[in-house]
Amino acid sequence: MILEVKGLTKNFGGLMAVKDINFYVQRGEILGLIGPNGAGKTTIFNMIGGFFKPTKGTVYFKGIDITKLSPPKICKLGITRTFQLVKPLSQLTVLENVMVGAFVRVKDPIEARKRAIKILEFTGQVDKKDMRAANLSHGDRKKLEISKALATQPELLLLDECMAGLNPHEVSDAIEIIKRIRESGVTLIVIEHVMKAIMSISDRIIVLNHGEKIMEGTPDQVAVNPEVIKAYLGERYARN
Amino acid sequence: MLKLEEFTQKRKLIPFIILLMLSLIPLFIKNEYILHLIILILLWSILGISWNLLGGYTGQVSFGHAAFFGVGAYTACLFYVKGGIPLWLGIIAAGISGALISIPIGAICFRLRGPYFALSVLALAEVLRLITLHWKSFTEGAVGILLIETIFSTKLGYYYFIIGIAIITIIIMAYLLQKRTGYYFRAIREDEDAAEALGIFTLRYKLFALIISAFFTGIMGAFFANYTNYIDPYIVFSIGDVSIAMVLIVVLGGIGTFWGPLIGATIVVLISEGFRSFFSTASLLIYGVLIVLVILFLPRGVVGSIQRKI
Amino acid sequence: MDITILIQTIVSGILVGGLYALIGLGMTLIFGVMRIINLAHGEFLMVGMYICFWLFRLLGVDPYLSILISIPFLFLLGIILQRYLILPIIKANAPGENQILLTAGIGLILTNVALLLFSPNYYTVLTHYSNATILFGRISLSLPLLWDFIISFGITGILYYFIMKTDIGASIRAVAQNSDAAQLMGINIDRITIITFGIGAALVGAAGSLFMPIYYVFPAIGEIFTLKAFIVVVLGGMGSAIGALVGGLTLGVVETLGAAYISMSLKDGLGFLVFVLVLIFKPSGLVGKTRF
Repeated sequence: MILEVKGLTKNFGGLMAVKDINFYVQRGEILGLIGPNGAGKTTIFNMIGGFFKPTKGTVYFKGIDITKLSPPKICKLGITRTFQLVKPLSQLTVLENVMVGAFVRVKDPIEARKRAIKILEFTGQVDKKDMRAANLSHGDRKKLEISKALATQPELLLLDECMAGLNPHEVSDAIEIIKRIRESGVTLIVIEHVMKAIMSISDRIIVLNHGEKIMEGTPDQVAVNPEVIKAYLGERYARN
Repeated sequence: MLKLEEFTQKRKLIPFIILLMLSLIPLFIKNEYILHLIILILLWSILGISWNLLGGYTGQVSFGHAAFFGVGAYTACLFYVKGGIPLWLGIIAAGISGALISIPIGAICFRLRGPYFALSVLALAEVLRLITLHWKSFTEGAVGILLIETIFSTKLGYYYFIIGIAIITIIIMAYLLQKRTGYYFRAIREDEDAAEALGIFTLRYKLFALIISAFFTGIMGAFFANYTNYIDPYIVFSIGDVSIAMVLIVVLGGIGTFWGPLIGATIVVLISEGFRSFFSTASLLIYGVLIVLVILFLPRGVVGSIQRKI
Repeated sequence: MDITILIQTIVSGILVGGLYALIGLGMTLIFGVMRIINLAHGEFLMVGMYICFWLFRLLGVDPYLSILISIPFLFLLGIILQRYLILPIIKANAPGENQILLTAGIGLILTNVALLLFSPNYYTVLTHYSNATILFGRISLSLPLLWDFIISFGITGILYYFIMKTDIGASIRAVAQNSDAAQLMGINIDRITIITFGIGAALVGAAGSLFMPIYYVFPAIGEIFTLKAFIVVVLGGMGSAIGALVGGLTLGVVETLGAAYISMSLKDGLGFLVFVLVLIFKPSGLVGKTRF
């Protein structure tokens, strides 16, 4: 088990965003995290990544309690997250963006540049390497978000809606990249709304609604589960 | 492609070529006023470059750099006047004390972001000014400190001295910016959360940028004290004449660019001096108008506006 | 320690604090609505003070009546500055430091125009009641100071009514909370920011007229009070009106206590000290919520 989350709870003043979440992730698997908007998925990522401190609960990474650690420390330990609303380093070039990620593992700019280029070749963005991030299209920015994260050489990668707003061609491309990421030995937790995509790539799926885990299982099991259908589409569809 | 890389390589030498040319000027021009102008331009350039490291490259805009200028000036003067320590050592001590005082200032102010950070440094600079003003037994208060003997007795001495400091400053800046540190500074400027997610300890790097910035600002404070022979709390801790001036120079030249501070310093010094000889009372008024015009019409600064066109 | 003196000092501090609160309110209103930190705020106070002074010197107008002139004058000044100088750069999405620099430049211009017109001399307004005191039991308070507080209180009350009960006030609150949503609901953001800046300036202008009887004016006074305003606002919490009130009263009390029990010359420093302490221990302000 590379990641174990126990009793994770987040209370914002009066709003209970996430309540008593328990799950684990096996090394090498792709875990999907789905649920309607506001279900608490990104909040969980924020807590795993160290951006929020949980109200209650613990997060264990490779057996170490990382609950109270800061985001940079967690990144150094091996967990990198992407942001749903992408955060490119706008005035830097694509290459420089990825180099920043690479620098967490290597100090020398020349070495960082080499690694960055390899990452960009991996994600298929190397032709845009000298473009300023501010000038990229939406799809390219989404991809850059992944490239930056990969450069940090994570053992566990948290992808937050990396396919939002992508056209079908870009979605297939993203699925390809995610599969290749897994093949390279990285474990993934993926938050996604593009159903076909997440069903096809995940080994297991966890479904969240109103901050609570309502189901966990294989994609096939999740697809037919009445609670899940009710959460997304409402009572009427669930009865069928 | 090859030509572009050749050009960028050669481009790095331009500052040094300029400084080399400047060092040859006294052989041809004996006019002391011209030397004085160049010294002023270099003084403000170095101040601008220091501020730019923190404000332009790391994105932490400070409106209180007079804190470090003043601390540096007073360190050098007090070391000499009260401790008999040679002025040469005083200049280095000035840089160190600027750097040292920046640590608690950073620790307090970096909790805030954006304009709050900018003004909290200003407030702390004011605190330092008030302390200097009221601790009469130590600092002579409003009476100020007069240096009877200074590092150089000729303008020429200061001229070459500041060229030397300029060379060192530019080398150190250029070095930092092309190493990992430089990339991290810019990442922090662009997006602090993204930077943290990529493993950057943003507070550490912000402090680092601040310390270096404060170090060179402190050295310039000591240089100023020697060059003008006299300092007091209103001069060296001045919000308008030091803190805001540093911001204006870099914003006018182009914040976050390499050449911005140099160009900004040249323009501001020439305009200020030009107007000073004609309307002395109105010179500050012109200064205010200049600020407003720059913000309205050249928001990216000279260099920034040119870069946009490319 | 004489308890009477203590109470007297504290009450005086509260009275002065009322004025500080008025000044802080102007700044926090401007900040709350358009996220601009107005470095020319102290200069608006200066303008209000000079208006009061010259009306008194040339026409014999009582300082408290001059409020009726300084309020509209500063309101107009604020509107013009916002419309022609500040609004363009907000719309151009200028970085934060540019906005601060712009207001700093405006402040510089105001200060130096005053210097050219009025010379660097200190001016005061001396009326027949300038040194009058009033007795409450054994507590003696300065009469002008008391008037200042009452009038500040009144102005704050009017402002409260305006913000809470009128349509424009509701629009202002809407823009302060979420300018995009407000715009989508058909509120003319530009008009609101112009009006708000005018109100902010007018509040400070009023404070200027109120300040004249108990202080003195000179061109460079702006700088001091911009900083005081900033301290008040940060003490209370940026963007929070209640915060400005709390911050102003706190600063007033701290200063008068400091002046009475420690040293007259250090009283400014005490304000800064409290400011630094708040920054260290509660950066969001004594009242404010964290909204950086």
